[in-house]
Amino acid sequence: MGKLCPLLGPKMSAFCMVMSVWGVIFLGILGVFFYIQAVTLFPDLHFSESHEHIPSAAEIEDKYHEKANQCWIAAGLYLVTLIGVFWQNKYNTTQIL
Amino acid sequence: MGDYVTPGEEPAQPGIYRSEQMCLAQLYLQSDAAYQCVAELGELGLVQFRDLNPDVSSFQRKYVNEVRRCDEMERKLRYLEREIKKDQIPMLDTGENPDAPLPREMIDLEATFEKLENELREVNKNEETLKKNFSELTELKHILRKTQTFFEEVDHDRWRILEGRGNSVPDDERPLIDIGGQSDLDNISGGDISRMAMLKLGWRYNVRQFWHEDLIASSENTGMVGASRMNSFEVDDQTRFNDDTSPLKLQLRFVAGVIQRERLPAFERLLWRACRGNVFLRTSEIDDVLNDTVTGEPVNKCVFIIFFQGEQLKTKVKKICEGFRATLYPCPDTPQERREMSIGVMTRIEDLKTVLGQTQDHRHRVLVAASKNVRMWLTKVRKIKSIYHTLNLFNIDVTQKCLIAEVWCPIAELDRIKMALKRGTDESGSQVPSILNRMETSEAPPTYNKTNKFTKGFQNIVDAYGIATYREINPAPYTMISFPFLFAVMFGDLGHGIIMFLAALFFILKEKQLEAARIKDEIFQTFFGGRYVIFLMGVFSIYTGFMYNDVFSKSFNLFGSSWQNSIPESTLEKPLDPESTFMLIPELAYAGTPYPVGVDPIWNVAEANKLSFLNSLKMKMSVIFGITQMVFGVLLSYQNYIYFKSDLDIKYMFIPQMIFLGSIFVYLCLQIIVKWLVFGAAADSVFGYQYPGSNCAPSLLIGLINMFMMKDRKAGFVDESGQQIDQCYLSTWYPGQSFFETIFVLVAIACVPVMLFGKPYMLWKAEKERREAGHQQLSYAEIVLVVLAVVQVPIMLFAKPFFLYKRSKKQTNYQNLHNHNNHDESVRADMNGDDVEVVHAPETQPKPAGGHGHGHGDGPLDMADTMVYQAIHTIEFVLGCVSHTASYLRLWALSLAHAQLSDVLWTMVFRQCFAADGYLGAVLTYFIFFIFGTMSVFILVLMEGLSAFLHALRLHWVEFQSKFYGGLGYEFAPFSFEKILAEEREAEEQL
Repeated sequence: MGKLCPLLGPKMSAFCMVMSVWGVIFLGILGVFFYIQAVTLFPDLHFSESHEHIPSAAEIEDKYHEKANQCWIAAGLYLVTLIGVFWQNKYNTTQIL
Repeated sequence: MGDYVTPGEEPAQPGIYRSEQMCLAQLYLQSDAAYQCVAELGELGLVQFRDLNPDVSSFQRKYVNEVRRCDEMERKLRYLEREIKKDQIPMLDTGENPDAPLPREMIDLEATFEKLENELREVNKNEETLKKNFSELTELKHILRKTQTFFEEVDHDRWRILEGRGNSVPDDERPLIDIGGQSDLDNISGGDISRMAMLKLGWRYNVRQFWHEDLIASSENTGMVGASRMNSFEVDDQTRFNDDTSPLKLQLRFVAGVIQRERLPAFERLLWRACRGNVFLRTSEIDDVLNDTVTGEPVNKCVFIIFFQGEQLKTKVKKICEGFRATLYPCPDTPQERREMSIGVMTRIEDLKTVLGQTQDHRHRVLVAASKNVRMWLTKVRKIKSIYHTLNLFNIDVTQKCLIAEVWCPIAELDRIKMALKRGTDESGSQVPSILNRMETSEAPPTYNKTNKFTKGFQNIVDAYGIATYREINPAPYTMISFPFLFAVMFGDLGHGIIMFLAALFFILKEKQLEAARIKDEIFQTFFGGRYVIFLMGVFSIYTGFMYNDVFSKSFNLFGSSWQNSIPESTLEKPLDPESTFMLIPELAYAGTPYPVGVDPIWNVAEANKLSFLNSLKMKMSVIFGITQMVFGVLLSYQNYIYFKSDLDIKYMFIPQMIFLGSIFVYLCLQIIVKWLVFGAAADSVFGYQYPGSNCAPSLLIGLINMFMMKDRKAGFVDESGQQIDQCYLSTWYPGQSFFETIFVLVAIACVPVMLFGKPYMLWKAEKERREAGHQQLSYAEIVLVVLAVVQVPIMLFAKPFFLYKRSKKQTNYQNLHNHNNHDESVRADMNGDDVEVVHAPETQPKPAGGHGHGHGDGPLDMADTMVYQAIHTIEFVLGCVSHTASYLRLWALSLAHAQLSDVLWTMVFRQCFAADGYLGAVLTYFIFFIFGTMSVFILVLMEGLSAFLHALRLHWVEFQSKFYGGLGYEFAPFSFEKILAEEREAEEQL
């Protein structure tokens, strides 16, 4: 099998593979925590900066859901990355250095 | 420490609590069986041989010849290996471990290697000559081919010029020399022009016209005419190109050869200068890359041909050629001859090619055959060599029938050693059995701690500080637990712990593959070698992270926080100043029962006072851990003293040390725990005192200072009227606190500082006062104190030295009694020449691990030395207790730093991605997570991990081991093939 679009060497792709596996797991779990509205993640929510406006409970819940989705999408992106990097790792076994 | 009586025989204790019991033994080996026995012992790898001929130089030893032969064999094998590598033949390395060959096999091996080497050398020599011939012929071929064109050009040109004689080309436009026509001239570079000028000027010189360099540019018509005539210069002694029309019979000659391309410009210049432009040089590059005739390296070369006239110039030109390492080849003059020669050369080249191919085939076959065995041979030869090397350490008996060796060996393995000796004797077919005879010795045996791949990492940590004194308690088993634990206290984060754990798990699971891969990277090797240490560090970090409730600086609320919202909804609904903070009042919000395990997750969102809470917790915790470890260290020293039967150390070292530690530091720990237990947030009654609330919880640090200052403090937190008193956190908080604390301080002081500074001063003062006025003016308490102190001082300082002195005196007497029948002798035979004599050498060598210079039974007691040692050790301990306790605060500091750093990484980096919404937010999350993850690994896990590792290392070496560990031993270095082969291989790989 010849080189297929050789972008990453074995070391780089191994590193990226580890990072993407971690990304999928970490962001997936983080999404779950946003979904169940973990209090410890409340400081990570971002609301518009107005002193008068206090976000209502519904608003906060919406925000939690949105961030959960955001995390899951990012986790999905990492899944795609993982597949890409895995393919790179499999076919580009030549080390540059 | 250090007053160790060498323990006698005792039941074997398995395990790594103490180093293995060693004994010195003599081996009597039959000369015939010695080789086999040593081979068996080498396979076993459990005995350390002592050099019995330390004063014999290595050239005078018995088996020096054999060692030399082995060296020679090794050299041959390496040569073979190099050749194999050069041909890129894969070497078969099964890693198998052949037995050490018999001595007679050595001759076979030698013969084989000799044959192989000779064959190889011959083949190489032939090949070299052939290659040299080949490249010479190739060069000649090129010369013939290129010069042909030169001659042809000239030939052709002559005709051209003759034809164009009538042309009236103006001088200016006229080419300086028109060999090869206009089109050729266009290609000719500046260098060529000068070369052509040379041609012309050479001719001018011949016709004895004056010349000047300027003339090159301004050639005259006459010159040109001359030049045209000059084209008959090819006329030489053999009258080739004999031109009838030429008026001048010029004797032009030429030499042809090849030169390296880089040297050409210099060569050209020198020719021009040295011969004053009287030679004509033509060059042409050879397109193929040729191999150098001598070194075989690829080089680019040029063919050149130099025309000149006369003998003198010839020698000059030849000299220059020689100087530039140009190779000259004979070149026939006539085209026919050249053609013939060319054909001859071609056929010879073809022939050579076949011969060369056959030679290379042969060489390849030889090498392939050798490559299958070369690693195994190398192992065998190294084994033989190490055996003879060991045999050189032996003593030869008077009768030459028997070799005597002295070995250190673990007592527990004596049976296996005897079995190995028996096997060796049997294999050699000797009738007389080998004898192992245990000897008594006063020398300190080497320290041998058995390790396996798990304990090795920790044993290395301990050994890096110092090899344990023989039979001293080995801190490694405790280090296995406390080291990862203290590391984890500083590194406490569940997330980072998992990363570390998984990395180590990967190393452990892929152990075999990674070992086989032989990765030479030093950093990788460090991590890989410590994989079990890292694994435990990871596991413990997960545990402490769980306790701190920290996962990438976030908390889990697993069991339900014990805190509830106590702020009314109505307050929260109102729009508020963003700077304002809410406080959960413990009395209202706290459920009363603490969070079951670890830190309550509520603290993670308590942005205002999270740090004050955690700091107090971690600081107290690290003091408790530190003092526990130090007390444990002192307790271990008790085990050492008991083992070495040193009552003096127990009475005057261990007990005062424990009292000192207990009265100050253990008391502090108890205070911390009691404060945790009884002082809540709510008002309560504590030990009979009314406790108004958390602002009156006692300050332990100031309390400790006040304890030393012996300040008067108010008892309780409220006055008679029930009013909270000022600075209530400074008052005493249990009945009789002042009294107890005074006692503790006094006891501690009695134990230590008096001994250091008070001793000379108090003695002198007491003496003076007794003389002057008596002691009426001293109050009762003061007298007691002074007497107590004065009594303590001499006891602590002199008691031990005194007893030591007495004991040593007793032993000297004893030794004098028994001096005449001293059995601890080793027999040495002097083998030089015929006059064989037996030297009875009493064991007077100094102890390698001689303790602190006041061990028992070696010489008179050095009083000053003992005093100095005792004083130093006391100072070290007393100051150490304080400074080491403070030093353990690094547990808190690093833990704080780690938690803060991971918090910063989350809020400053990762949180940013949640500011954006929608798909942009998702993509941002994708990228920012990558940064967050990378930084987590490299900064928080690697860098912080390294720093926590170093701090844990220091805590063990300095704070823990200084309490009991001598570390004055020397390592057991057994004769083991495995070790020797591994070392050789490592050395090989580093080349």
